[in-house]
Amino acid sequence: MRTSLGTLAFLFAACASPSETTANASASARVDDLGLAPVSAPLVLPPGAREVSLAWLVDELARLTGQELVFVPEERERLEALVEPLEATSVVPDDEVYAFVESLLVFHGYVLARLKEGTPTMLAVVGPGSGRSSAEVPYVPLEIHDRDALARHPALLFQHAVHFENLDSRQLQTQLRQLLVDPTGHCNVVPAGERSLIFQGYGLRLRSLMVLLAEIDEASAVRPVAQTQAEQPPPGR
Amino acid sequence: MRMAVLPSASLVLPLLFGGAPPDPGLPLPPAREGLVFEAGTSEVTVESLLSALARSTGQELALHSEVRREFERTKVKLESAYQVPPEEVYSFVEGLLAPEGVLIAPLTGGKRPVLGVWAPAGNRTAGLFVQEPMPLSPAHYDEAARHPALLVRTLVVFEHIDTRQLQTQLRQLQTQLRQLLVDPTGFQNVVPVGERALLVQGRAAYVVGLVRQLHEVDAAAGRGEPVTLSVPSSEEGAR
Repeated sequence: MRTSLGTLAFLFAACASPSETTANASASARVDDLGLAPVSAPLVLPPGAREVSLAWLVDELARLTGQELVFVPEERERLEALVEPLEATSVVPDDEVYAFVESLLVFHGYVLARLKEGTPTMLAVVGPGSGRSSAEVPYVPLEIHDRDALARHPALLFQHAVHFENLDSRQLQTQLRQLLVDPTGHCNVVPAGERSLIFQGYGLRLRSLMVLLAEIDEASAVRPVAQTQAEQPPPGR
Repeated sequence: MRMAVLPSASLVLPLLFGGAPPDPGLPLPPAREGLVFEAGTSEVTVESLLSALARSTGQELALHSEVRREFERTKVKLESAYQVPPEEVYSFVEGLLAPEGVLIAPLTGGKRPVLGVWAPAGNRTAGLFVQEPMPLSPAHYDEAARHPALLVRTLVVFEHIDTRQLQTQLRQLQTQLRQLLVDPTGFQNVVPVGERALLVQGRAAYVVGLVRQLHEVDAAAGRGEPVTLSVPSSEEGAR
């Protein structure tokens, strides 16, 4: 990590967690399969509201999970200014609250970074408001245990090592570079040895990449057979 | 500011046709309602089209405010008033949105799905932007061909042609394919992986048309036949 402890202190000093956070403190005593605080109730959007700010959604996530969410002041101001028009105000089920809020955050270039392990859980909201990338925040990346976790957390930062049976990871990294361009600065891919890549990034992108890499590796496994066929002389010669 | 959920009376109105369409196979919620245009409607705003799509499919739209404002001003022409049945809502709306540069891709599913919407205005004004293409498997090509604004990514594996060489050759093609290859946003792309695989990313209808043609090239290469590769139009890709 490039960030100094001073940065961490700055983040905590700028903590803007909502006052409602303590209303559901018991939730922080429990954790889900990723070690995050579970959602205690559905997300009820304001009746008749035609829009909500991203700051309101983040505050609700904090309240419903009893979780500290940490911002730098610039991020907080920008989240308050970013308004999300609502197509519908139907309730978001509790098992979809993380995905709903995170998908709107990540769309606007924000990610959630776990700041420490254990309870109470604590997440930093990192985005373009402060001009920082996640590389400048001392987060503890989550490891992926199942691909569904990526779908449930499109904005959460993960780190995952992928091992290939049939691919040279260094060559693959070079070839995929065009697709791995990340304007947010939250994603990174590093080859480890000849058969592994280490991915850092948010759930939405990593999920897509994991699907893709599995297909590529599988395709590479059948390539020698195809090559053998291609190298055979054409019929009639 | 947000526009009314329902477009004005002269614009698009939802009409229940009854009966949900069959599961399209793609991870997109099916349209539950058709669309009907009032007699005499000659144009609609892009924003009202998107709202109609959101209502019909039950999706929340993720959309930059700058883009929404531009969509409220941008109008598309309608040649005649007619009804759009539920199973054609995606194709119809996307077909009108695609020429405006709009791309869509699902961000999350479930009971409250969110659909990401990208447009050139967002790229100019929003700065950092995240839009991830939807993985597309060959089993869903037929359905995807009816989505001209859906951003997808698919892996194509060839038996006979060298994809690194193919990528270079494809660069020589003009117009839409050229845009596909050198798109500055990075949303539309063609990337070789190894010697026999090609990643194709772009609008679903166009991607499917291109991939089908490349498979023909591959088969012809296996037979030792000369092949001429032409660029499919979006309409051809949609068929």
